[in-house]
Amino acid sequence: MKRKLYQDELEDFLSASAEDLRMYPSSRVWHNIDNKIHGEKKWPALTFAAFLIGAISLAGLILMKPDKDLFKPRHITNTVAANTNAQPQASKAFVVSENLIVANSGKNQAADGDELMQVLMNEQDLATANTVVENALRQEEPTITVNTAQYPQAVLQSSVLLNEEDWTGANRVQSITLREESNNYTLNELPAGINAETAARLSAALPQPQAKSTVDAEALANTVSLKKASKWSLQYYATPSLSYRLLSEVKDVNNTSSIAAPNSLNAMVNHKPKLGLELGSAVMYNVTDYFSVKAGLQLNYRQYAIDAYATPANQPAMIRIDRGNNRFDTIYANNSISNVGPQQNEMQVTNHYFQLAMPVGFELSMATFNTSKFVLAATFQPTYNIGQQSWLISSDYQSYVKQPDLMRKWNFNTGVEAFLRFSNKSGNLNWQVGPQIRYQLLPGAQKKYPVREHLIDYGLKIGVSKTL
Amino acid sequence: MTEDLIIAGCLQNHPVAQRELYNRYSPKMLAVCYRFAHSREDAEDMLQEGFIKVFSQIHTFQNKGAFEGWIRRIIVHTCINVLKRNKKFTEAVNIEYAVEAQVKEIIPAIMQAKQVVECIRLLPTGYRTVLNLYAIEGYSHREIGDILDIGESTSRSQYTRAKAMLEQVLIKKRIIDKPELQPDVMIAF
Repeated sequence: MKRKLYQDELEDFLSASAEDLRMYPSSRVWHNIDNKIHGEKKWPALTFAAFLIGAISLAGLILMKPDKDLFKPRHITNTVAANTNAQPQASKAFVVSENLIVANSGKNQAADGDELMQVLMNEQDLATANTVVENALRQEEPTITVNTAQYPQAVLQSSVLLNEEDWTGANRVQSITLREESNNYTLNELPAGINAETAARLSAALPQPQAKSTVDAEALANTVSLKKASKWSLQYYATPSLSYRLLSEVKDVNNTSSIAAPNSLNAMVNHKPKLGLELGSAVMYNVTDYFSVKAGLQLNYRQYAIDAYATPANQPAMIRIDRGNNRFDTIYANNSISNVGPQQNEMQVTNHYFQLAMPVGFELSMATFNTSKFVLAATFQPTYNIGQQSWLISSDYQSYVKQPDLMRKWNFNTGVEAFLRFSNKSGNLNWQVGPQIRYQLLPGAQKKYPVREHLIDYGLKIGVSKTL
Repeated sequence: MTEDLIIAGCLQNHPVAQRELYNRYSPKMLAVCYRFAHSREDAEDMLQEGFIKVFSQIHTFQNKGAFEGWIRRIIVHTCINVLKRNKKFTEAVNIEYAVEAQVKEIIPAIMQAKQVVECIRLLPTGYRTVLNLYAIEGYSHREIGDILDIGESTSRSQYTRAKAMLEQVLIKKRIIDKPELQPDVMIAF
């Protein structure tokens, strides 16, 4: 009879214990169920961000009036050596491809960012270089040869990208590619494929041989050299961002029998990103045309919300602390809120971090367009936590407690970004916009706290830089 | 949101009602799955499959019993089907090793439910399934025999062995005290 009673008690005990248990599934489960019954949904935020970035990039490119050959590299093939003493060579000709504009020699400067042009002209020929040929030839048309015995001989040593302010008569000076050719055509002997309209336009645009120079060649030689831009620049930026966190735990500390929780940590916590902000300034130095280094100071405000439950009275919470060498301490706290509870007690608490960081990094220019660049950048950021409010989860995942003394004061972050940089006409003021990811390398709490939290921010960085 | 509203919403395939139903019952149902499963991941897979069935079969619920009980039966049957499909019934674990591997500490009362479930999960799959169905889910041995395709007597014998094993584990982990056998009990036994 007693044995029978014991058996019933055991079954009741098992049943009651099993019924008490609640486990919280990971978000993956609902995501899969929802996809199964309603079909796959696209992440609206990602779509929106992609659309926004795409729209900004497109608008920027359109407003900046890009070249037709936007993605083609500019270069001079077979550069002709400069020789101001050389006699005009009747037999020498240059094939002019793509859009040709001959610069007005009366102006003396041309600059666009780091692309410089040096135009060295024969003294005799300078006199006739006061004309512009505008979009004379279309790309699809065959090349045409200009006889340099009759027309000015321009010797170019670099890619040409001239500023319209500096060159009267030229609405826009574009790339010129010259190459020496053995064939010699004149406009009267156009090769097949050049139609009459193009020939007429070119003929009207070409300089008149009898025109006399009004420019002092020596003065021009002194002024034609271009002023180089400074290699130093100052940058200001702001980055609105959303903060997420990646959680993991040290199993050896939390998985003892007294606190073993069958729920995984990520299944038990539910957090929502909130808007943060980064404000900063940096000094940049252009090592080369494509590579620059930078260092600066920035302030970061990051925050996220945690789903929690209000409790009528503070419930005790326990945190296991790893003292090393398999020694563990336990912290009991009463100022806690619950991580589980009835729906009517739902609430949110927010973890805030206010940080000062010193980013040091580099920028790598990946592609250059007409007045814009596509740039990749990375920084390493020693970070000091000026102030923070952080709720830590207890070892049994049932509560959140505040333990400021467990939080790190110093940390390290890293940032990677990709952006488009747009230059103004003079090239000394640049705007940039693009996505940025910032990741916190060390956990927010000290090593002895077994739960590892790494913050990760997804932001849109907007900046302006001015050449010093 | 009341249960009737949730059911009505789910019948119309309304996402908010479905999410509400899931939020309300998934913690309890995952605990059920966890008792049958080998790991938490397996339990979540069972839960996922079970809830898809719940949403797709909700029109068959006839308001004759508790809604939670109806969901629970679907979840339990899903667990059994998954175990059958994966042929898990043949697996066994070394009970002695599993028990000794645990750190022996006094268990706080608040942790007792978790610990009991963890002890149940130490049993071999076949024993565990029968024990779960009989002692906790309330199925009869005849029903268990039908569900698991075994004889009623096999279910009884497996349950007896499962309970004895579990008793050992619970005593070794100091979750229950060893019963003091008295002379009359021994005579009666």
